[in-house]
Formats: sequence, C-alpha cells, structure tokens
Amino acid sequence: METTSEVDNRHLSASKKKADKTKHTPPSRRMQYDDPSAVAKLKKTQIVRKKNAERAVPLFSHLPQYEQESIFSRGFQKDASELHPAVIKLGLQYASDVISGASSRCLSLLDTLALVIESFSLSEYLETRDYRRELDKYLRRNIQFLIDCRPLSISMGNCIRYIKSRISQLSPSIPEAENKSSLLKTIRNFREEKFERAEEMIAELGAERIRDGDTILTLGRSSCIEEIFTKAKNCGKDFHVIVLDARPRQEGLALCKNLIQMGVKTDYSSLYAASYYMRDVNIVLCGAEGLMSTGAVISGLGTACVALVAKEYHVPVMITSQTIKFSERGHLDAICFNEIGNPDELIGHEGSDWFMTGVHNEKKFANMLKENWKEMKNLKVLNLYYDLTPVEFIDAVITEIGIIPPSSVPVVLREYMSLS
Amino acid sequence: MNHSTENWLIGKETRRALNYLQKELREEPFSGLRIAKETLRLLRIVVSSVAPSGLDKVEDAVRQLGRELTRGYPRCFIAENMARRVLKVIHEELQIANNPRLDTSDLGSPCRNPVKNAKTVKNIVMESISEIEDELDAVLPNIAEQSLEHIHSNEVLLTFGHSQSVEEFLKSAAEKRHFEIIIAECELDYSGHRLAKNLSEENVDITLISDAAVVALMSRVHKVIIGAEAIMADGSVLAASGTFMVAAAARHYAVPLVICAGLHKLTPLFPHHPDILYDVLSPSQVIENCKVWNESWFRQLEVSCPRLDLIQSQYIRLLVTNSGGFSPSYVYRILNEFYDEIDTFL
Repeated sequence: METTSEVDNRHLSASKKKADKTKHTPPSRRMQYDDPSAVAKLKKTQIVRKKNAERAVPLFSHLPQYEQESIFSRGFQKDASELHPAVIKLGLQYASDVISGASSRCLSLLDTLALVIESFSLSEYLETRDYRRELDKYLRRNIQFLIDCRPLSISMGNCIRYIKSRISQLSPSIPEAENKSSLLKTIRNFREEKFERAEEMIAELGAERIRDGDTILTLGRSSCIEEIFTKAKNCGKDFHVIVLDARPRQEGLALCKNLIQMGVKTDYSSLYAASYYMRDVNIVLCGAEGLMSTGAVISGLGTACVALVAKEYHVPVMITSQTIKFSERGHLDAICFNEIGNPDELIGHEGSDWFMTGVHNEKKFANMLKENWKEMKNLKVLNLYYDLTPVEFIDAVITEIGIIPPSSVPVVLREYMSLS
Repeated sequence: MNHSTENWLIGKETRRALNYLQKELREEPFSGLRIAKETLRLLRIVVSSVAPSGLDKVEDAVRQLGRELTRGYPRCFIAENMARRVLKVIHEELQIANNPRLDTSDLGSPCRNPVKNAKTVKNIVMESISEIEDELDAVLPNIAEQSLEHIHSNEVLLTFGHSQSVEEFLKSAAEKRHFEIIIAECELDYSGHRLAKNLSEENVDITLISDAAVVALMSRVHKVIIGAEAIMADGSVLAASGTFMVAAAARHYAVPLVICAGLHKLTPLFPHHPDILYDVLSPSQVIENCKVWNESWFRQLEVSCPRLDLIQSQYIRLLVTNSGGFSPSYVYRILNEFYDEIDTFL
C-alpha cells in the first residue's frame, strides 16, 4: 500500500542517509485516504479513474476502498499509451487475483520491471537527456498503474525501492546499453538471492525443525511452507499436516491436494476448528505478508486467530518469511495497514442444493443477505485481507539468514540496509 | 435400542411422540426454548398416562424418557435438563409421602392417608410442569430487560453468530440507545447473517465481518456478547465452534465476555474430557465447492467439522440469565436449586 512518491521519497531519504549517517529520519508517512488534500494530490498522479466508495466502514476510511467496477469500466483518466503492455497485463492479473500470493506477486513484478527496463530506450526521447532520470520517470508511471490495480505489498515496495536506488547509482558517463545490462544483471541477482535461494534456505531450515511424528498446523497456502513440507517429505520424515482455511479466501485446498499427492497425511477444516485440533498440534507454521520493526507479523486474515489459540494451548508458532518482507515501520494493529476486499465475497458463497438436503439446513442463511443487503441502510460488510499478529504470539521467524526471534527484525534490517 | 423397550412404562402413543421429538431435536435452526417446551409437552403425556400407577412409577417413566432423549441427541442437554427438573419435584413429593412429618401443607389434619392418591400426584407434577413452562415463556423478556444495564450509548459490541437471547437483548437496548454492533458471521452455519438481517430495522450500526477478522477488530470493542448452547456445572459454556477464538481474543484485549443464556441451558454435568463434548458434523459444512468431491486425491483428505467449542469459566466475565447476571463461579449454587444430585446421570 505504498504510493510511488512514497517509494521515491524513501529511496531519496535512504540515499541521503548514506551521505549523512548521523541524520535520522522516520520512514515517510503512509498515504491516508481520508485526508482530502492528500487524496486530491494523489488523483493527479493516478492513471486509472477512481470512484468514491459508497459505504466505507469509518474505522477503515484511511485505506483505499474496494472498487466495485472493473478497471475497464472505470477507464483511464490519463494517457495510458506510455504504459508497457507487460505492465498492463500484470496489473490486470493483480486486479483479478490471478496472481495473488505474496511471493508470486513480487516475482512477477521483478520480471515485468526487467522487461520494462529492457525495452526502455532513450532514443524515443532526446538522446541528450539523463538516462537515469528518464528511466525513473517511465518506471514511476508504470508502477502507478500497478498500484491503481492493487496496492503494493510490503515486499513489492522493498523491491521497487531497491531497483530505484540502483538506478540512481548508475553512472551518467557510461553508455546507455552498458547501464541497462548492468541494471538487468543486478535485478537478476537480486531475484535469485532474495527469492530463489532464500526459499531454498528457508525450506532447509524449516524441514530440519520437523521431527518424525509431528503434527503441524498451517493456515491457508504459502509457497514457503509448501517448500518446507516438500523438503521434509523428501528427507523421509513422517509427519501429519492440518490445513485450516479462513473465509472468504480459501486457498488451503490446493495445498491439501499437493500434500496428498506427495503422500503426506492431511486434515482439512475451517478456521473454527482451530481449538478442536490444537490439542494434538506440535508446531503452528504460517506464512507472512510482512514483518514490522516491532516484530509483529502482517499476514493473511486469520493468522492472528490461529496464533492466539496456539498460545492458549501453549503450542509454538513459527512464521516463515524472506528478509525482503521486513519493513522498518511499526504498527500497532491490523487497522493501520490493510486491504479491503469485495464485500460480496463475504455475503455470497458457492453453496449448492446438495447441502439443503442434509440434516443441517443452516447453510441457507448464507444467502439470506445476498439479494438485499445494500438496501439495509445500517449494515456494512467488511472484508479484510490481512491481520496483524502481535509479537508475543510468535516464537520464531524462519528466514534465509536463520531462525530468529521476531524482535530481531530491526537488527536484521539495519545490518542488511547497511550492506546493500 | 430394542432391549430397553421391553420394560417401557409408557404407551405406544407416547413412544410415537418421543420419536417425533427426537427428530425435531435434530432440526435446524436450533432453538433451545422450543426443545424445552416440546420436552415438557411430552413429559405431560407421560405423567398423565403413568400417574395412576403411583409416584414411583412416574419417577421411573420420567427418568427413562430423559435417558431416551439423551440417546436421541447426545449433545443436546436441554431435554435432559427438563426431565431433571420434573424429577426433582417428584423426589420432593416422594420424600414427603414417605416421611409424613415433613409435610407442612396439611398440618392439623389428624388422620391423613400416607400415600397420596393418583389424582393429587398428577396434579402436583402437572402444576410444576406448568410453572416451568411459564418460566420458559419469560426467559427472553427477562434477559432482554437487563440489556440497558449493560449496553450504553455509542458502545461498540461484538457478537458471534446468532442466538435468540442475544438478539432480544440487543433489540431491547436498541430501543433506547444507539450503539454499534460488529457481527462475526459464524462460519459454521452463517447464522451471523441472520442476526444482521433481523437487526437491520433497528437503530444500530451493524458491521458484518468474517470470523477471522475478530482478532483484528477486538482492540476497538467494548464488550463481547454471545449466546451459548449449554452452561456446564463448573460455569464453563458450550457454544458454536469458533467461539473459543472470540473468547481468547477478548481475554487478550481485556474485553469483558458476556454470555446471554436462559437457565434451561444449565446442565449439572462437568466438561471432564473435551472428547465427550465434540460433536462432529458432515464435511459438507466445511467444503462448499462440490467440484473437488469427485477428485481422487480428495478421498484421502480428512475433513472435520466440530460443532461445539468449550469456553472455560475463566474466560467469562458475566452470565446474563433469566434470573439475573452472575459470575460463572456462582453456577454451582443455582444447580442445587434446580436439580437433585441423584439425577445428574439419568
């Protein structure tokens, strides 16, 4: 949920920091969508037209509201001819949830930006202009389109910040082609180091933690956790996985399918069964969207619930996360940072007549509100994407640099920032 | 089940009524009050048909009926509770009959028949059943009456799923005050949607959320008000699964958890082992997408759907019942008032 200017400011402030190490500045403020002047300013840079939300929950009015209409029906408010076709494709994939996982969103972003950089050439502009500045401008417009489609995640913001800082470090005296190839190489290396190798490392560290006979509970689907299970199974470990799912995004079934095809004993249920299963669980493993400097974890909705129940039953909770997901911000609760989804997802469900014949006919109630909830003046439906798990619920974070306590996040950030 | 029918004291007609009730107990939506009333109706039939053969026989018949109801639907405590309450009345009568000196009702009549005749027995038991019925009719108004003491203007409340007593409680408060209510949908049966619909005419702000968002919003909530399926003897509560999560979140954020339930749900049993409490429903409740049912990998997947959650008494701040609000530690005292110790296991 970062705007281009924000990303911009931060990379500027980061480079300033390097020049003047004694100066301390806080991370730039997040865009507050209930601030009229900030929204007016943002409207000038936005590429896709935005509509005002009709029924916002007051507590969440500072977040971008869910758009009922698709990008095409809203239309562009600016000339979109400058957008790279790959970016348009990616933006639509984000908006329609075709690409929705934290890691896959980030990887596709890196790949697309590499394409954009590759196809960018100064020859379209004045050859005398500064390559760095023009490329930066061009990227910013393309990234703004992606933000219009769906707010950026924490790791995506970190990636963009990294690329921008690399662009600003290019030398103007070197020919364009050379600059371009060195930039593409750094992106490739970055991708390999922060994602591919990191995931391998996390899988190895996580698999070591799984012992024979363990029962592991996980929520939803996370690519890192799937890697850990694959690795552990390949090492010949015998374990049992319980997959829980939280409505409305139910991704866990896909994980179940892969686990069963691997030959792992798998149980599946909804979030409400957490307390039912927790007695038998040894480890709770969850993915993350981002780690805050306080050690709190932003992750898919429901993680905090599972971690809470695990704490009540004294079961250790482990989070898997690449260091690219670490953020220098500190958040108190899930209200500071979140995304708001389609309220209709919560109202409707894919029930069929099959259930109505059963003894329990309660499923019918799910569709009770479907027709007319918008006519009910006092009813608001809130579909959140993330929640924040407080630091005291988390026992360890599995990262590519080792298994660390969540309170070490700012330390890692500081060390890693000074290295890059 | 056939072996038990041999020494049945009640007739065929009653048996048919019993079967009907057993079927009804399984029907949704679950309504505790309806089950209680149906049980009492059945008890009336039994008592009136067995009464001529004496008080002992009535006791046996009621006990047998209670057992049979438990068998019909093991996790539904309300039907047994009703049988227990009638049994307590019968025990008192038996005690008086065996021990005439205790009988204070007709002091002064010197030559009194030690065993009361069938008609008086019937009348006494019927009268007590009517009393219980009157009490049941007053459960919802009595609970709703207390709402203004607990809900104040501009408060943010959170509830989970739908409960008749919670609905009445909120409605009666909404008549006088404006407040905000966050409804967690209760994924098990989506009954939260029903509550949202029923409250949509009232002067309250409603926010419907998924169960998973409960922890995210708990820091902004002033009180959590939920219904229960049974109040156990140690003050813990059985409620729709997912409630434990809400209770734990409330405790983490130090938000008071208020349970609204009629005393017909009070059960003299202890939740010794969690396994006896778990009632597992069909996997179809969990997986809505029918497409996966036919896939080969799906057959190896175990899907569980527990119906109930146990919320231990330490999570509960207040029980709001039809006889007032009290803390869970006080429950044992009320138990003695309602039930006889020997009836704990029917």
